[in-house]
Amino acid sequence: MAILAVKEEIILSALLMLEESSHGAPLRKKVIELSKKETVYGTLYNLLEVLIRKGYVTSHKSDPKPIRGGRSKTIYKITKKGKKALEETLRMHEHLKNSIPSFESGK
Amino acid sequence: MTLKKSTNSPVIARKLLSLMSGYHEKHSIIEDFEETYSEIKKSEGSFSAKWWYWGNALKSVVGYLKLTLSWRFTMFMNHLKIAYRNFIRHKLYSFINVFGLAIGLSICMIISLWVLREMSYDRFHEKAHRIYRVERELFRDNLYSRWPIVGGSYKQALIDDYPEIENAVRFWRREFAIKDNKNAVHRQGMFAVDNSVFEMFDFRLEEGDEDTALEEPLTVVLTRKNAVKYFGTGDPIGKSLTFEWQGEQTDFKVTGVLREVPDNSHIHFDMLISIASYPEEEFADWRSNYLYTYVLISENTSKSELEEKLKTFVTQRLEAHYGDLLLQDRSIHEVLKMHLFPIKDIHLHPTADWEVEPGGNILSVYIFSCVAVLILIIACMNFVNLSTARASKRAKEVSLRKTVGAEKHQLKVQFIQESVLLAFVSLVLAFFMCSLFIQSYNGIFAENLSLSLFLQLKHMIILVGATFAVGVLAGLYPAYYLTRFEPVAVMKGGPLSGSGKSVFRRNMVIIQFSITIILIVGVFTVYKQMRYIQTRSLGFDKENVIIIPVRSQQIAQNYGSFWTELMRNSQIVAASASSEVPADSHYSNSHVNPPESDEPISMILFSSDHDYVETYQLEVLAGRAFSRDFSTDTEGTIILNESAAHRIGWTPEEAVGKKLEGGYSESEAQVVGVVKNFHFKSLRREVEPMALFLYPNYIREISVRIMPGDIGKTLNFIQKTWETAFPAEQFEYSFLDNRINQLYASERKMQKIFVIFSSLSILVACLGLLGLVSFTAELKTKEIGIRRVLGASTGSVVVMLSKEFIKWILLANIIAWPLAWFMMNKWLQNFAYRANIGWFVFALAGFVTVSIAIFTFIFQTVKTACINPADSLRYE
Repeated sequence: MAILAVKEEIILSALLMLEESSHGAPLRKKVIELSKKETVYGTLYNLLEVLIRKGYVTSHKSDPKPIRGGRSKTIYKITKKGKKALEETLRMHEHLKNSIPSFESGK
Repeated sequence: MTLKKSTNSPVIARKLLSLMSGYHEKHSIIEDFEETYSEIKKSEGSFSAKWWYWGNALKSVVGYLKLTLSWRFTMFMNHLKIAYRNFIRHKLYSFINVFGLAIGLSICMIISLWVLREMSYDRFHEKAHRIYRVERELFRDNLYSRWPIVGGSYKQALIDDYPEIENAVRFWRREFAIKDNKNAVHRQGMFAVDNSVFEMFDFRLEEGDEDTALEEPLTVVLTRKNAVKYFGTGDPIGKSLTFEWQGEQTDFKVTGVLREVPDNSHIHFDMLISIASYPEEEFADWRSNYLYTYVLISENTSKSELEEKLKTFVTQRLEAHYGDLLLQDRSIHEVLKMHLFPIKDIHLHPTADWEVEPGGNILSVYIFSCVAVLILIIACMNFVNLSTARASKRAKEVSLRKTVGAEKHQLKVQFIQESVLLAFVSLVLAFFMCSLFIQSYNGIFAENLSLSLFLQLKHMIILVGATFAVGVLAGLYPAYYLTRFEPVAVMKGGPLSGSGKSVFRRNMVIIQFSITIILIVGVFTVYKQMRYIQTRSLGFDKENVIIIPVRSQQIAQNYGSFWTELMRNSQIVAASASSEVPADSHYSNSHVNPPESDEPISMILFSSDHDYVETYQLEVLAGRAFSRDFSTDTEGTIILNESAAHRIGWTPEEAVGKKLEGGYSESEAQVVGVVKNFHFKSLRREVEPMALFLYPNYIREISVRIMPGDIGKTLNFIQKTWETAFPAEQFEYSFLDNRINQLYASERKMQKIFVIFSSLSILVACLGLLGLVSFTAELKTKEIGIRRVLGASTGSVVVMLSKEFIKWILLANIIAWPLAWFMMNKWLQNFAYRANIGWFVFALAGFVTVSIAIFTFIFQTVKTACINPADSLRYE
């Protein structure tokens, strides 16, 4: 069972919410929204590199769009393996939360 | 990258983003940035959008560096560690590598210091590129002369005639007796100059007004150091100095303090007087040449065009005065030419006669640069050689790296890194060695070099760049060679291609030794030529002659009584006063007319009293020497040398009794004798026609031949006699043989440099050989062990190991000999009289290299051969 780091978890969640694939700009926006923290592209790319290397994310270049000067964008897509890892991690969070009694009673 | 203009994002930040190639290729960083940028711009305005763009771009750079560099750095540290371990494990090889390279580098550094110094002469003048010295070239019938001196009226005429010439200055070398504040008299050399010296050159006054200091007659400026000699401490400005000026005590007013002239100037002085102190009439004669004239030409004027224009100067100003040289309808341009000589070139291309100071030599600059490069090549080759020889030791490492996924180019980078690293270690060592040796170098060669030149940023960069290049070059072949190994073969323990014979390595050794042999032949040839110079009969006896300079007219007038007094001492063989002696820095030439032809013939003129031939023990071929016994030996009587008689077309016997006109004689004068050619100039030159006139009124030197033995006592006697005869004059003297030796100072220096550098190159080449031999021996440990078990003697094992190397070195000899012969022959062309190189020199060079090489590897192979076979076979 693979446990994801929190940052990785957020990125994968963001990708899932963006219908499994997205290019950089909307992804960053989503990540900021989810984590409520400023995230620089550089950090984002470095994390994506790690996820790609682990096989949770794939990337490919989109067809160039005529409106934006003809250059292609990189599209990131979550893999099955990624989805599974995210699911497992989330389940573990659930389990952790349930196991701590003070969280049950108080708020 | 054609983006829509409307996005309007900061250009520089965008450039910055595009630098990060990784983000650029794998992720579309610019596109993502643009998108977010235009969103923010829409919602929050363009200022905060720009702010965001910049902030995020910079932060992303940090992220990028973390991603990429950390890995590179990790690998680099690993390479460093491996390099360090290898260095420690193979101490001998590493030492040879680093030490050899350090020697090569330090020689290069010292030589480049010297070369830089030589090249820097006269470049400190801001207008140096526009300043030229006016020179005249004169083609008289058989005598060619190119002199850097002209007459005193050239300066104004040049300025008047040519608008291109912005300014000009005259330097007239003078010498006066000056009284200091304690009434002691000093002989002081100086130049009489125009005040424009401060406008044209960067010679500066520390105090005083550069615009007017030397305008007025009877003004003088001097350096602080020199001022102390005359005035003690205290401000010299406004004080006056008492000169013995044309026979009278005359006061010169001090109007300024000169800054010291930099070492790298072709002209040095510590006192200048105004040339206006001389009346204008002094410079009226166009035919006499005695002072240096420098001109400043305007920007955008080409030297060659102006030289062409100077032809009109020759026709308009000079032709009238040189009419007598225009025989057989020759045009004046064939006889007399004016040249402009760039001052930046004066030091390395000094004229043969009348040069301000003995200069450098462009040939030595070339030769020493070549030597430096050659030695560096030898050291680099060592490096390459040893690295490839050690290849088998590294093969396992290379294979392992390959197996775990290293790419060829990564391995290459690793090895090149390693050799660059070693090169820098050598550089540090070389710096250390330089700072140790530079003192003794300066001592031996009387130079004043300083390592601090390398601390200048420009030179520092060059040095570091050069070291880097050496490292890369030396690492290239090993890198290529080492990364070829096939992991499977190596791991199985198969035979290695790096261990056996290598054509490449053999060639390296051969080239190294060829270079060394060339240097050795160079040493021997220079040595032989120097011996030749010292032992060749010069046509006169140079031993036991003392030369006393004559510096005032009073000495010439009272010389007779001084001479009589000298002759009373039995230790003094002969004495003669003359205008010229051998090994003078320059000789004047003029022309004489044989009566039967109207063609004047140029000759070098000597004037002397009756005793010249006896004092110098010249060999009289025909006729006789001057003699007091002949009343016909009046002023103007002539003795010719052999080549002068030959030039006129007489045999020595025919010449005696003939009449000649010109030179120092007012009317026709008789030739009374012909002497054998003697080398009054250096052996670089052929002996020129010379005429010796009996003319005791014009003397510049007194030559005294003394008996060998107690020279000190005789000198004392001469000094006492001098002091009684000329109480006001300082007594100075030099030995003739020393003066003659001085003529060959540059050759002697070259000899020393050759000896030092060729021994260093032998050392470096032998270090390489030592490394190679010990390596071969190590590889063959097993073989040697088996041979020894089967009964081979130590001797036969040594022979087996050394056979191949000897073959290489012999081959190197054969390659080097013709090259060396060619080069040294070129060098010997400098001399009109030269030694034969001879086969012996080559044989000796061969012998020296072979024996040093044999010594080197016997040292190593005997060690290997003596190991007990039981030990050597157990090894591995």
